[in-house]
Amino acid sequence: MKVFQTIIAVVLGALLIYAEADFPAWASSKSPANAGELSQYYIKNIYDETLVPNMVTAVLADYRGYDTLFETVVVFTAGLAIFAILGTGVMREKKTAVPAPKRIYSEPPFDLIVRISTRMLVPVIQLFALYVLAHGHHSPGGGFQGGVILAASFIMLELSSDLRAEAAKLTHRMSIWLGIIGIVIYAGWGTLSLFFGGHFLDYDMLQALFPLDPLMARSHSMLIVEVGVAFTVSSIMLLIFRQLVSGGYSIPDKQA
Amino acid sequence: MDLQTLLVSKLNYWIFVILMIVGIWAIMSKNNLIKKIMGLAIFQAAVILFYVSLASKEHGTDIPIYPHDLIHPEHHGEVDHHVEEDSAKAHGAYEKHETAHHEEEHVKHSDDHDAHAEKDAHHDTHGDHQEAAHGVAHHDAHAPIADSINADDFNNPLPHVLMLTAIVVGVATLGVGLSLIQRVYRIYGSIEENEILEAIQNASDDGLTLQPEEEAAAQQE
Amino acid sequence: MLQHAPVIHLLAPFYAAIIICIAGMWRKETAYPIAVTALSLSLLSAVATLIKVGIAGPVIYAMGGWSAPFGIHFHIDALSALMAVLIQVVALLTAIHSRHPIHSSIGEKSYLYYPLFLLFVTGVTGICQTADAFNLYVLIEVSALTSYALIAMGEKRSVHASFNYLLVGSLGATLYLLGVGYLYLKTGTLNMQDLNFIMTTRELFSTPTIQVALILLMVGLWIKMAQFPFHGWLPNAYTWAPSPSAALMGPLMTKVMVYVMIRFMISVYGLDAIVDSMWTTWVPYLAIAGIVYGSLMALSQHYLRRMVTYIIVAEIGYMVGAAWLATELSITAAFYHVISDALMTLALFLCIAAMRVRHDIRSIHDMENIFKKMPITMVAFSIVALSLVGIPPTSGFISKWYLISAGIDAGHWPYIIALLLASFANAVIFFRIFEIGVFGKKPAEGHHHEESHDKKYLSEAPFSMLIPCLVISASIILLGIFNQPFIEMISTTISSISGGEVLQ
Repeated sequence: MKVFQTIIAVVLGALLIYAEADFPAWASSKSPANAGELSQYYIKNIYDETLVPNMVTAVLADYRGYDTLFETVVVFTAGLAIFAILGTGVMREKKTAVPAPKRIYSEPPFDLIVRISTRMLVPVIQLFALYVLAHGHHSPGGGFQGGVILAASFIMLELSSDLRAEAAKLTHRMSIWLGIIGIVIYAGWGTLSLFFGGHFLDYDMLQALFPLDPLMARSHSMLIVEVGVAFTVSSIMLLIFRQLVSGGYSIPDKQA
Repeated sequence: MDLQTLLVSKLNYWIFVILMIVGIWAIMSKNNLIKKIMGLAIFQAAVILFYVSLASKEHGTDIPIYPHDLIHPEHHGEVDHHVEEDSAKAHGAYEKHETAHHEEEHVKHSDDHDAHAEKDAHHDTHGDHQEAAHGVAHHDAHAPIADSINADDFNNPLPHVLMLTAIVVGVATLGVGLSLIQRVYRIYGSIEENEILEAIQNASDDGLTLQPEEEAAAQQE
Repeated sequence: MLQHAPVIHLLAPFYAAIIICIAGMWRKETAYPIAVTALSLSLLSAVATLIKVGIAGPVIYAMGGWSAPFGIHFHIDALSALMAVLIQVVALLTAIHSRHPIHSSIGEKSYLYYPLFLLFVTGVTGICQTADAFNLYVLIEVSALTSYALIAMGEKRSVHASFNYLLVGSLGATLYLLGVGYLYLKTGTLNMQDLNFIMTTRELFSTPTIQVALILLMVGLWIKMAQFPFHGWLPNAYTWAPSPSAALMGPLMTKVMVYVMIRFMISVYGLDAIVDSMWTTWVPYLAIAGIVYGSLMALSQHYLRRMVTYIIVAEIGYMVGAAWLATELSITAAFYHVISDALMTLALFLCIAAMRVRHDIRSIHDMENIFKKMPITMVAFSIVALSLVGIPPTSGFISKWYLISAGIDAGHWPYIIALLLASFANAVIFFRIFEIGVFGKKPAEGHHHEESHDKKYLSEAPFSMLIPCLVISASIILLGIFNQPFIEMISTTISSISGGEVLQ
């Protein structure tokens, strides 16, 4: 069987190498992808149209904003899925090969240095996360990056100290709620432009909402949707971490 | 095919092919469920690397962001606003941005003209079903910043965008996969594929049919 | 508001999923009504879109107001609109049907089940409407993630089955992504119509990259649609899933992948590029292998759900084989069969679930005298059986007719023989079921004895499960009788796409 699988892998590899003959050289600026109309348009026109210097954020949140909406939905769906697969109640089956653990969270031994240094670092990390989110228009960053760093700060807190106590502060329900808020911000903002006469996710139609600076409508809208993305990503990443770490035996919610 | 050309100028593609084969082989032939998931992650990483390597240009910046001095130059260029027939363009927004952040004068009447042009442009987009956007690239040669940009100076932003999405999707899939493995472990007591199949076989008389009564009873407890 | 109809039937299930997440945490009973309402609304919107497309031609909806290829477009022609209506119909009927099984098996988690259900519907609707190759990947992953969870919420074996599905499904989706990457590498665009334009004008079809891209795309899609050598995940996944999940995903997931395959074949590559290539020679044989394998395995099963999953594998073989005969007639036949088969599969899963709920019937051997116990359900079941065998006036007959005509037209006799063989195998399966169901296995004397004793012998399924079964079987017959408008719509669209007219 392994021989058969190795043969399949080798055949696939040969196929890919055969296709390689045709590829443009690496980092060629004449390749169809790089010299194509699409890419040239983006590079030349993004600033004029959206006033956002970071091309990647502009394409992500505006030109291909529909894609990003569904990417956020993917994250939220993963959270829901993990909650459904591992969540409370399901894991209390009797006939399992591996019985439920006696202690759900292992409590690390109390270590003063770890605790104190984590407590000092976490606010800085969170501030940095918010900076990455807000500055996504001007430097690499944006909703996903900021959200993940934010989640990482919470995870660090939980890893270094008492998981049980930390987890009790932000319940699973709350995580799902925050995730929902994030998606509602994104999709809701897009739906808002339906009411203003544009297509879905057409931020330009929302100029009436920004009386001070109508031409910045796209730029501000991008920030708003990135905030929504950050909400969802940070809360769901935290949820995923908690569920996986505890194997589903979370601290029981009041009505879970 | 000159060997040097093949290997050196297409190095990134070779790397990606090797990684990909390793990943696919791991998914197929490894016994441990976690190793299978790792194979999937390696395969996805290979695809991501492939895409990102498409975006680079020899003299391009690594990060596709307009540098500060390109956006806020020392002087004002001619502001001549032509409305092209290709829609989805907004001209002259640059001027307004300048006003908000620096104390430079802006040309009032050109702003009005721009706002008008923008509305026109969008009206075109929404109303017209038969527009062809490809073919000839309509670049406004007089736009303030577009003509001062040499596209070869910047990396291609599109693959970066696509891969942001792909990475997030990969992480989500990984999360769901790991949670499934957790449950499989809880139910069958093992994460080795052969042992799991054995446990399934032992649980029912013949491995192909289930024992519904026993399992349904267990579910309803 | 009507001009935004394409977005309404995408967003209605999406918002409903969010509302159920919130409301269901508070009261679990609200999940079901919200789901049904949202799906009815999106069904209306999908029908409105279909009418609009039928009258005015393809609808193009630009997301974010950007024109293609700079933004993402919806390009909704008759094929997409029909798929959208099909999806909403299947989803609505399954949602109505699901009240009883969900309540009894995973009741307290219904506030998680229905959002996943609705997000799956959002995902597959989006797949059918988008004209952007990368966006398709994201939506495939949305629907795939929800399906992993929907399957894993079933019986104990479902978790392992779902894990295998996750591995293989993600592999397929990533291969698809790689194929799109190759296409992008060579053309520089992601919009489907634009891809076709660039590949035609620069004559890229014979380059190794584009050829390998087609292989990667097709293998990825075949994995996700459970075409023969890659079908391994399907039987286990749909056998152990909860019955509403199987009823939702069985008709939809694989058939939507067939739609994607057809879409790439006609809109991105174009029939001219595919016809007379190696593909039209070899792929039908692969499909034939799938048909034969599926039919034989279905014959040997006695557990009902598993039997249906192998029938699905065989049916996918019909569609892939017909599509890769690569004539306009054959693709029309394949697409019509997509619709017809989705309805048949849904009906099968619904009827089996109804039987299981009342009488705990899981295998053929449990089905003794079922015709007396559940007459109405069995009427629906019989109609589906007739359709699978291919007896007029059901839609199964019409689709088999067109498939065989396409086979004759292309001169591919092994395909026709495989089709007839499969019909024969289906006939044997269902004849066996009818025999057990009508006559039972007991001798005549004991038979009469039992009948007179049981007053409660007649125990029909609850209304919420019965009505969808009847609606579906009625629609199978209606689709068969009134097939002309659909066939015309489909074949006109396909000819206009491959007629050399380059759409935007």
